[in-house]
Amino acid sequence: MNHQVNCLHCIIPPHMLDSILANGNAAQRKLALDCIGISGGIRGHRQALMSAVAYLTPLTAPGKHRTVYTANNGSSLPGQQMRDEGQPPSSDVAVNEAYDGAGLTYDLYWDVYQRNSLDGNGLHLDSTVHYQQNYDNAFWNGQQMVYGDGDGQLFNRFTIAVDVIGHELTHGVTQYMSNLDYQSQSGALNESFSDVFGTLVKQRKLNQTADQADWLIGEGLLTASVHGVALRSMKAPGTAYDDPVLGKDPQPADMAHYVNTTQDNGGVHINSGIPNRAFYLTAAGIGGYAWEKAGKIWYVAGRDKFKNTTDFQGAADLTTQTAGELFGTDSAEQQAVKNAWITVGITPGAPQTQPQPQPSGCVTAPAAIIRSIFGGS
Amino acid sequence: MRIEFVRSGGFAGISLTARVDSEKLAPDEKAALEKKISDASFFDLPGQIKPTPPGADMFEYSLTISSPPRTHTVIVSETVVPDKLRPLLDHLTDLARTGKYR
Repeated sequence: MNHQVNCLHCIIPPHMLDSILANGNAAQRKLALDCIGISGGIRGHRQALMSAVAYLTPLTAPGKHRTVYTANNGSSLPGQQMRDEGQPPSSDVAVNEAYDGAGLTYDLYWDVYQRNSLDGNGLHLDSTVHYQQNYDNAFWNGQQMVYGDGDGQLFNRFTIAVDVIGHELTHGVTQYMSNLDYQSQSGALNESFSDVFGTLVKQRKLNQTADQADWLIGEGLLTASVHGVALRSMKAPGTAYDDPVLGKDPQPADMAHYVNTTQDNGGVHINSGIPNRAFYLTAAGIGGYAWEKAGKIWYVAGRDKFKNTTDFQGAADLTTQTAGELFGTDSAEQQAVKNAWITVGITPGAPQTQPQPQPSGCVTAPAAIIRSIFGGS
Repeated sequence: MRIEFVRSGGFAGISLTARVDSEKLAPDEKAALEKKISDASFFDLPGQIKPTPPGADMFEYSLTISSPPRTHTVIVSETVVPDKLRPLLDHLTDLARTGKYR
């Protein structure tokens, strides 16, 4: 163990090691990997180790494999194959939207979070379009995505909004991670996770920062005859639509307006407004591209800490804890997470991360070492 | 018979409801609806029918029918609706869409 590496492991936080692995040159990445090899054993940098494993194993051939089928307006799944990975575009716009949206979603998870598909192991992404007739819905059936064409009066085709596609695929990611129970608060968290990463797919596609994004879910899905801009607003839950036929957006923006209901698996599409807004407030508080920090906090918390029974309080505690581990206790990022949850009516009670004892001789030149790693020439 | 029908959930999370008293329907409508209830063997269906794995964003139907002395509720996800129940759910979905039975 040379002195510099020893110093690195006590200075470089895991998220920076991630960044080096993703962006550094070969020599820099080797240093980072050496560092993780040492610090992982000493300090249990699970996140950094996971990234290193993800970096080393499937990088040569990440498993993006999309297949789009049509149900030909029937109910049989998956239906007739229309486009497989690498094939040229179809003449059917819904097929191409499902294909492209699945690709953008795969890319968010792979490029930003080093996750190889829904299961982390290259699971093929199967989608079926033209499900039933005038079908006003899209769903994840536990194995694949399914999209309706809409009735044309109220709803357009469901592939029209890329965040809907990211939403459905993220149900698959959640199924393979925390597997949040699809009922009441854990179910609303499951829904919220899908809205969060669905909108991040859209924001990344449009290259939008948190303050530039519209934070709407399903923009473009409602026809021009409906009084509404989308199905949900993460920024202002309850304001997406108010229409004589559809009614008013029922989402609460805080715990004081939590809706107790037996319908919709205990209001999973209603109370998701509360954690949705907590994510928006976090991203707005941190600033910049929401997928980089806020998204990372949510993703790592969902992957490593959430259980199937995690409720809103648990989500507040665990995202706050994760922000501390990724960015430092009392960092601006952790404060943004805390403030966000407090604003929606939940006070995080995350255990404080204990300061790590540092080996002597390592604290004198962190800036120079970081500069050397990032190669500011 | 009194029938309470709710289709909730779905990506949009927008509910459709219908409350129907079959005695107040026209005779042919009453007969058509009661035949579908009978064909579905509604009172013999399990109270909950859910898929495994559960998936997400599927429509969830909740149907309660009271025909004294019997009252029964069935909650079923759209992908696992029994074939014999489907015509009844489709019929009630159409009634709910008219907006006359809220």
